[in-house]
Amino acid sequence: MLARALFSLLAFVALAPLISASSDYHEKLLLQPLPQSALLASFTFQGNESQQSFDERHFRYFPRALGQILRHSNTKELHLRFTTGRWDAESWGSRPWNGSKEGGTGVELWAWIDAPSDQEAFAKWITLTQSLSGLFCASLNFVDSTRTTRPAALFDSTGDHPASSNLHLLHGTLPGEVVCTENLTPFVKLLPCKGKAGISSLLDGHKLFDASWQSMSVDVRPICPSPDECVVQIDQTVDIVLDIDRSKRPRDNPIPRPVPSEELVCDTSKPYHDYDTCYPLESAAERGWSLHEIFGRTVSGVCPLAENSEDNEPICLRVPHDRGVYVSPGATESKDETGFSRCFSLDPSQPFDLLVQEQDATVQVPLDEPVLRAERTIVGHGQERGGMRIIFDNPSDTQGVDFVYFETLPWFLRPYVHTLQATITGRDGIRHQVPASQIIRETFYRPAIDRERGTQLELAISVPAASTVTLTYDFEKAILRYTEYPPDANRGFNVAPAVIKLSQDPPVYIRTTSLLLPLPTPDFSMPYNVIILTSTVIALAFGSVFNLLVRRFVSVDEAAALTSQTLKGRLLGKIVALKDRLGGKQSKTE
Amino acid sequence: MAVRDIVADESLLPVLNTSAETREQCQKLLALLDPTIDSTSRDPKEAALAASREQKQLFALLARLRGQNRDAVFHVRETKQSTAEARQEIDRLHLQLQNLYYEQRHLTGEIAACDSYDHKYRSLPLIPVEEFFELFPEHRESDSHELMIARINHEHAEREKLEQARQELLKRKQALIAENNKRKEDLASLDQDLERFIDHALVMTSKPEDSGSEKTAVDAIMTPSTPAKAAPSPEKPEVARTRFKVIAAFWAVIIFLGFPIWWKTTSIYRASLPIEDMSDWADGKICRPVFPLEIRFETPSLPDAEAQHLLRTTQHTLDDLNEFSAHHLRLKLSDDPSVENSLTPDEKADTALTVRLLPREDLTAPRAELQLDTAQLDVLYSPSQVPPPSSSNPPLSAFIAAELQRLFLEEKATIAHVLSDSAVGAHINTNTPSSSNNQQPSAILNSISPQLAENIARRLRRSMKYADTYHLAFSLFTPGAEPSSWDIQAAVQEYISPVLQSFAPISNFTVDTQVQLYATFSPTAPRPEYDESQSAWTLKKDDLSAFINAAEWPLSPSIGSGPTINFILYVPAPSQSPLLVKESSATSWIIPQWGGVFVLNPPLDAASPSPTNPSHLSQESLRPAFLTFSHQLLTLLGAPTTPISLPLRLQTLIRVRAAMLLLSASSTMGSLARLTESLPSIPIPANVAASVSTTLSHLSLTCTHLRHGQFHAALASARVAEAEAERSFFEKSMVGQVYFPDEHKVAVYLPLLGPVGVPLVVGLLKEVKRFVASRKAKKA
Repeated sequence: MLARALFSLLAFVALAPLISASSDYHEKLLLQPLPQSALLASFTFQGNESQQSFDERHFRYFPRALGQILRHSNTKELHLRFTTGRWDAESWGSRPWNGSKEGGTGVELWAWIDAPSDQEAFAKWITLTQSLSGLFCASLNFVDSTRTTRPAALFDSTGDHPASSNLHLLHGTLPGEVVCTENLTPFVKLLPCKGKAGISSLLDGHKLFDASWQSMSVDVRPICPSPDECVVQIDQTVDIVLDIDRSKRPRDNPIPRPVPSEELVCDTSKPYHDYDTCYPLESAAERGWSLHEIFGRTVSGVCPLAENSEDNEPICLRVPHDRGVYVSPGATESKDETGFSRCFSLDPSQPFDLLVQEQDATVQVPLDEPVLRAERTIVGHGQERGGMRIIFDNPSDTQGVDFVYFETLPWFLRPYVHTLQATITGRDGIRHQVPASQIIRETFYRPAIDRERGTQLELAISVPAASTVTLTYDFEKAILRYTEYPPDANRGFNVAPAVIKLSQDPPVYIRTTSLLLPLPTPDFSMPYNVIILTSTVIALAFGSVFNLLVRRFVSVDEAAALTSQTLKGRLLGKIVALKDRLGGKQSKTE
Repeated sequence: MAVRDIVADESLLPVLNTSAETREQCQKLLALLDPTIDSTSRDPKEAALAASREQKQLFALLARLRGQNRDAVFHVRETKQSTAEARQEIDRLHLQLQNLYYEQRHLTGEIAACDSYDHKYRSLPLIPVEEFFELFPEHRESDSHELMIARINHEHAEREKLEQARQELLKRKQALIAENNKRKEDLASLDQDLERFIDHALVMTSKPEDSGSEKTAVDAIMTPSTPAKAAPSPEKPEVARTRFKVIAAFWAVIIFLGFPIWWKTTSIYRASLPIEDMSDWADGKICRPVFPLEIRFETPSLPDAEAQHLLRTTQHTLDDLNEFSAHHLRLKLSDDPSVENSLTPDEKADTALTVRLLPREDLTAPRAELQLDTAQLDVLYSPSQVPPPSSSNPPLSAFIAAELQRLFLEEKATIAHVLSDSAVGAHINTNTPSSSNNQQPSAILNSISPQLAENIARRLRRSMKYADTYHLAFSLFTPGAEPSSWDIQAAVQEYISPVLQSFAPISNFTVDTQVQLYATFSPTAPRPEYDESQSAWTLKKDDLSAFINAAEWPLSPSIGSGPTINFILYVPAPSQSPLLVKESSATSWIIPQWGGVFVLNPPLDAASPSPTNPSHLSQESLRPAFLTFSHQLLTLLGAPTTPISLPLRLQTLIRVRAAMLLLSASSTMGSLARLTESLPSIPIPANVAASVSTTLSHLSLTCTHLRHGQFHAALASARVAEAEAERSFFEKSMVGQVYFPDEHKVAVYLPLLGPVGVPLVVGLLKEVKRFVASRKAKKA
């Protein structure tokens, strides 16, 4: 709960100055060590541009490239996510920003587009995805009608839109997209300080994409503190969970080495403990680290645009107060009352580094338990049918959870919704099947049309306290056309992660992992084999029929007389003559 | 004692003396203490006293001896050390000597080796010196070394010659051997032929009537003699006919069914294009662009007849002055009712210029004043200068004509340049020499000053292609963090908007602006250098092309149709301020067909310890930059530099643009015609044909409008023509098929076509052969 409170506090701090200034820029970095020697680094960059100058295309804090795209595609609110890896909720607790700043594995995009009709909204959406694809070097142009949905209850607009506008929400995912450095570079270019000053100077692709979990987001929305004073806000975040040990390895020598034997701490209580046998003990102390070791760089000063903002402490660290922390000269530290958080204000001209000592952990920063755990897997066997199993686990012993479950399935996966079944397992481990209507309060189902759109399934579900609900349904796998298979067809087809929205305030989002669906794949050399085989058969048949019709049939001795005059006969004569000559020569030499 | 013999060193002598004394003292003491000597004679006490005295003396002596001994030992040590040092020195010298000996021996060895080295040239069998001198008498004076070199060179040349000769002989030998072999082969094969001939002769004699072909078989039936070996029974004619029918049926199916189906299914749709017309347009055979400019005379103070006369004489003078008939000026009285009524509004020409004749009393010579904001020329004259109806060439007319001619000189030159660059213009040169006196565009180009021609050519090179919409992007780049804001809204409003408004009839504009901090030069770009004489940082003119860091500066073109014109305001870092162009000390330059750059060096804020740029650029500080930008914009849009009146310049631009679009659309048509003719395999969809016909109709419309002097309408239809021409030329579906050649299809279906085709073709050939043979037989 505390972490969530802190994040909401951060969000508040970031939002607060906005009310006073019409256009400004803030940035913030939050570092929090997590169990298992992980470190969560959460970067936030927020720029505001007044609606008036946005409309007149005078861009200062807002990137011109993105502004043009939004104008050209009539997009009023945009949310773009690039995510890799998996958030380990079992060890790391609930998600940063309540999951609202992350997407499913790959790329996820949703936007509110102002258009008079659905068709025009879709045309604008295609323009938007094409342009964003170019801007972010991502394959967003593959978000076509089959990957586009219009969620009914999943997302709520967070911006202030004029009542007159006719907004359409469109949502698209690319679960197979590999997020990498080429997406980060344009992302950093959108920042006013471009990674040259301020906390964005820590964003190095090598370290960032070596993380256990990583999520980049771009959110654009109009915000109106008062009706006549609107701003367009761009919110960019990068959240990463780094493995401290892995990140500390030098870049030129990244292979992990065994601990030298004299540094090993052994468990002497083991019966086999001996001078040459050791059961290594995990060090109980918290790992020490510094910014330079983790990110390979230090923070180079302060982004001068963010300098004027009221919140002048761009870097916060969440460790207990008794932990030894050293910072570069010129920086000042301020601790807060909770005992677990401290923030630093930086000297604008000097590089900033932060060193956290290795120290035995006496107090742990409390992590709050996730409200719901969700897991989705494909079950079944064979190339024709399969099943989907979704498990929702409510860890709370007292409170039930209500949420919206949203999934979009590709058209070649054809679910049978009538097979949807629910099973409840209590803490005692006893399973009993219940009618689905007992769990599912509402259903929104939009069936797929082959090659045109995918299935959209939105369920309003409530899970009772201290129980696990398992939903299952069967599906059939379609056979694709020959040209529809990608080059790596045998790898399987990506199924986008399901999105879960917990109806709280603020809403909490959870995403499952993406799935790989193996489809029946043909032998791709088949058409050529078929062509060649049938051609040969037809040619054989034709040849024999034609010869039967055309050839003249004579007896054998008649044929012998004929042969001497044909080409074949003459050739045979020559061969005989050649043989004679060779034989003659041989006899001559012998 | 022997000690004295051994120790001869002087420094040791005192030691020996002292030791001898001590010894004596010891003896004395011993004697004194000897109990055997009668001791009674003395008092034992006295004896003890004496002994102790002696003992003291002995101790003193012993002490001295010890001191001297120590000294001696030290002395010895010193001596040893000096000896050792001396020996070392000697050893070193000795070693050096040895080394020198070695070196000497080595060197003598080397010298000996060199002396005795036996070089090849000694053993070379050279021609004797005398003979050589006879051949080359000029070498008589040279010394022996050079002589030897010359002789060796000579020998080398001779030998090469001989070697070449040897090679040639070898070749001839080879050829002869080959010839020999061939002859031998011929002889051998002759043997064989003879043998075969004999064999055949034997067979022939045994069965003189051998039957192979069907013709001979038929003959065999007629002849009464029967073959010796069993020849096949002759084919019945109806069998042959059946076979003929079978083959004919197969081929009929192939030709009348197979080929049409194949043709139908694989043919591509090619809409018919008016190729002739298109080529004619491209060659300029259809339209000869002319630019009749209508100039209105307002003569409020003149009576009608006089005005008419003035008009006529001026027109006459103008026609005499004009060398380029495609561009000519037509004068009209503004209140000429006959002209007004005879033309329908459609055919009414645009007025290019209004000339107002204003009488002024106190003028000796007429004066012309061009209005800056309207297309109007005021001519002031004194009433006395109004020509009498009789005069044929009055000075006022000449003055007005010269003035008009001067006003439109640049426009005329530009149009001539545009026309002469294209095929259409070139065609005018050759095709219509007789229709006018002297109208070659090149002629007018020759007549103007080379500087003006150069200016025009440069402007045309720099200016953007014509488009409906231009996107203007103003960007503030700075390598540091400041300045981070500018009064862009006011600056655009103040300096750019008026220009854009005046261009509104020609094109639409959008304006974007952005601020980009931390924009560094690209790593490969040359760095600015400090120039002491100008006390400024300078960029070389040649390096300006690398100024824009295209990889990192976000200068992406705007979305939507139309080109983007970029204007970059660069504020250098305080450490590199001021920044100038080295050669000209300029701070701005144009990048042709792309945009403009202005380097703004704001006054540094010296209050802080290190100078910094101001954090905000006010509208006033942006003024020079934006004035430059508006000027650059005019240049990039292709507006001429004269005359000073903006409306006139815009009108000129309209005419030039219309001419350029007309030419460009025509040449696109020509390219499309050539393309369709040279690539017969590309499909031509119907919409291309539609586009082409639209283009052609609009082209002729443009031409008509131009002829009538309606330049706005001409530009409008030329725009349509250009857009349609581009659309037809870049039609996507036309390129698709080109990349799927027929060879691929054949390769896939060869397994079928090969085995099926071979028997069919062979059967057909046999039938044809038989048919020919029977025809011959019939004739025979």
